[in-house]
Parts: sequence; structure tokens; C-alpha cells
Amino acid sequence: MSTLEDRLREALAERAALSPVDPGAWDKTVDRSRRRLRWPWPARTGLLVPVAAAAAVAAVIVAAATLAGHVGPGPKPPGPANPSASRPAPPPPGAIYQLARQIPPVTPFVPVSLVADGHQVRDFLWFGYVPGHAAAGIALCQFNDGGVYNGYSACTSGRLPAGAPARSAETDGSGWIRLGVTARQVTSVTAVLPGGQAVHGVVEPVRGISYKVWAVSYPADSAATVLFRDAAGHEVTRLDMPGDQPAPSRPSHGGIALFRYGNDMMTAYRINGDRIGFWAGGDSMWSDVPVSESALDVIATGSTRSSTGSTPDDWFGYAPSGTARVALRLADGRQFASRTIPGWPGSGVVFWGPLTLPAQIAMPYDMIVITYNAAGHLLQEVPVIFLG
Amino acid sequence: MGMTEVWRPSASETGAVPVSDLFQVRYPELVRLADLLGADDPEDIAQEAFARLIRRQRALRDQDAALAYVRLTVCNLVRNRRRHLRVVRLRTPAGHDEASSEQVVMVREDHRELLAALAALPPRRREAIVLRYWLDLSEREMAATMGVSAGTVKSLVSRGLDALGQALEGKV
Repeated sequence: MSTLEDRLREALAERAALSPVDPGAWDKTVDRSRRRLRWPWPARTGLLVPVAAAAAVAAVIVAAATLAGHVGPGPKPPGPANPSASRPAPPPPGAIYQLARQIPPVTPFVPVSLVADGHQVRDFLWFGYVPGHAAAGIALCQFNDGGVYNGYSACTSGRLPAGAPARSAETDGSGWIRLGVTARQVTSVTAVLPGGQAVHGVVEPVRGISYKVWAVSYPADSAATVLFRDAAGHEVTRLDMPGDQPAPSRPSHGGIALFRYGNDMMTAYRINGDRIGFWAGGDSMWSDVPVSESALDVIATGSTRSSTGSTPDDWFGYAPSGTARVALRLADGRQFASRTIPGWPGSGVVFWGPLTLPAQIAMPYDMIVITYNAAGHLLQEVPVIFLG
Repeated sequence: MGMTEVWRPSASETGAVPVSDLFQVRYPELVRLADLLGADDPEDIAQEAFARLIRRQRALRDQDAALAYVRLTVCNLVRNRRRHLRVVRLRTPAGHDEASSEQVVMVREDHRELLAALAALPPRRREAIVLRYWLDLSEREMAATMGVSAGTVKSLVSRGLDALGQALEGKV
């Protein structure tokens, strides 16, 4: 055994022993399991979902059931070859209809079949609107059938902005299958990996939608250039997809101090990829979305439990230039608002917060982010949605 | 009316195991696993994993299957938060949480460097390293927990160790 491996075992054991454990966790877990069975909406809990105002994203994590067994009543249908979506597909598994009640389909289910890390996966796609949040635009939803991530489902924005030939929307549960929407003239999609290997995916029309869906599978941590071609083989567009990235380093200069956070100042920096990151002491966070794609972001500090109970959540973020005030409206009607402070000249963003929300309503949330200009006129309302 | 998700157990699964028993024995381990994987709220992750298990209580009849399921769910939840969230949550700062400031002091300096390098790894490599060197899982168990092939597990561990070694080289 190498010294590094020994050190790893020691360091992990030492660190793990310091994790506090809530003595009331069982009661909370049981309560959570019961609350999540409400109909029509499962209790809002767990996952905090992105706000990407430019695309008006209402991303919804519906469920991440991840059992190696089959999800849904009845025998597991056979999986088609890879990639294939051309033959008549077996009907979707029963569990998908439970999810489709929450995000009702406005299109037929579109099955695509790909191999993800050795597992045959059928990904059923459909478009729909999140009830109560139709203004966020149409959502593209998926349900994984097969593989270890059997039963995983999620929705995200299904819009294809005017003039855009393709957009990446989501990954499947394994992270291998990338999928999105593309223009009608696109007939094929190919991912070219850093070593030059080409992986062919599928492009499928969707009845009721003027554009198509695409999907391609390659290793989850790999970067790739995804090429979109028309029937004549001409490249229509390409998307550069990043692989897993290590954590960015704190820039040495150029920060904007936002507010006191514990014993440190929460400071914003511009980081590579046209993104914004935040550092406070040893803690850091960063958006994986370029400012050019979304100039509105919402960040919450964790409500870690301590011996004195849950700490309050502090909410802050950035908003497009021209925003003078940002408000968070909770599902119960309560509203919390903050004025903005300037960002970097020419950056296109201003900062807002912190807004301290009561600890007792810490996660889960269902809220609307509202922005106003200096005259008090509403600029945009963007939902942040939690689904169990 | 509730959401109904049906999971049909395999024929080999026999003997119902109360989730409460598994929780009592394994909950701290699952919290620590989530913590080591970089979850901002490990208890939230672990509770969510067990809540999902409770909802499938009737279907899970084997303790090993139940344990594998909650481990898999913890890994997925941590990973999904990273993947899906453009909203990123912070750990409570030292001033808000006495335990975290104690942690900083209590972890040895050389371990701190190693843990910092581990935290900077891409998520899957970090996951592989933690499952291998903290939980001591076999490659087969790691593959099941991560939802990848055994070959991918080997590659992730190897690449993770290489990256850690390189990160520490300049600090030795």
C-alpha cells in the first residue's frame, strides 16, 4: 500500500469522525417521508433548483429513484439497440405516468435508447408546463428506464431560443447521456471526444413542437464537442461541452466585498468561463452558468444544524444591470426584498442580498424571485421550484 | 392520494428488515459519506435517502439491498445537486457553527492539505476515492454504488490518486 493510500485512509477517517449527527434525525426522516406523499405535489423538500432568468428556466427535480431493479408495475420491457429510436418503441413504464401527472405532457413521449457506461438506458422525453409556473416556459422532462439510474427523472427548460440552432438542456441520471433541443433542419448529432473519438447520438422530431430533441452518450466526466448536421451532412452548429471541472481557485484580486459572513466577508469574483464565484473564508461556491446565459442567480447559505438548532439561511446573488431591487416571495405570500449594489463596470450584473429568511422555513422552499428597476417597475418574475 | 412508485424486489430478497433498524446502525455512516463527498448539508442528504427508503419499505426485503440503495441514493443526491444546481449552497460559516471551526482545528495539517486536494477533484473521482478508502468497498460494490462499471471504478480511483499525488507534490 502506498503512503498516499495510508494517508487517505487516516485523513478520511479523521474527517468523518467530526461530522455531527442530529439525535432527532429519525423523527425528521419519518416526517419527511410522510410529507412527500401529498398529492398533487410532493412536499417541497431537498433539492434547490436553478434560477436562470435569461432562459427563464424552471428546472424541476421530480424524483431521483435510483434502484437497480425495475421501476413500475409489470415486467421490464426489452431495451432496443444503441443508438436507436427508429423502431416502434415499447410503451413507457407505468411509473412515468405518475410523474406525467405532475408535469402533464403536451407532446407524446419520445423514447431514445443509448448505452450509458455499459448499461442500456431508454430515456423517455416529453414536453410540458410546470403547473403554476407556466410563465417559465415549456419544460423538457425525462424519465430513465433501465440501468442503475432506473426511475431517475428530471425536467428543465425545453425552450429553443429564436435563432438558436441547438441547446443543451440536461443529463440523465448517470451523467453520461446529454440531451437537449435543436432546430428542425438538424438530422444527426455526434460528440467528438478530446481524443478524436466520435460518438453518434440520436435526433428525434417531437409532434407538437417545432424543433427536435437530441441525445448522445459519452463518459460523464469527459469534455466533448457536439456537432449538429443537416441531411446533407453540413454542420449546422456545434456545442462545446465541458467535462467535470476541479474547483476554481480564489482569484488574487478584483473581488467585490458583499457582506459580512461569519468572521469573513462574502466576496464576489469573476472567474473563468464568464462565471461568478463567491468566497468567504474557507467556503466557496460558483455558478456553472456563464453570465451571458443567465445574469440572474440565487445563492443560499446552508442551514446546517448545530447544537442550538437550525441556523437561518442567507440568500443573495446577482441580477442583470438595471435591477434596483430584488425580492423573494415565499409560497405563503411573505416577501423579503433587498436593494442592489453595483457589479464590475461593464459586467452586466449587480449584486443583491443578503436576505435572511427564518430558520424554521429553511429548505424546502417554493418561491418567486422578482426584480424591479429604480422606478419600481417589475422587470421579471422567475420561479424557484422544489419538488421531492 | 400519494405518488406511487413500485419497485419489485428480486426473488432472492427475503426477510423484511425494518428501516428503523438500518437507520439506527447506518445513519451516521451515511451522514459522513455525504459529508466526505462534499454535501453542503450531509444530514439533509442522509435523511432524504432514508425517506426514500421508507417509501419503498414494502419492496425492500434484504438488508444488503437496502444499504446499497441508501448509499447509492446518497451518492446520487450529492452528485445531482452538483449537476443540476446552479444555485450553490454554502456550509454554515465558522461563526454560525461551532462544530465546523472545531473541525478545522482538529484535523491534522497534513490531512487538511490532502482533504483540500480531494475536495478539488472532479466529483466522480472524489466519490471513488471516498468509497474505496473510507468505506473500503470492493470494486463491485463501488460500481453498484456509483452506477458505473468496474472498469470505470478502476479508472476513477487511479486518476483520482494521480491527481492527488500531483496536487500534493508541490507541498511536500
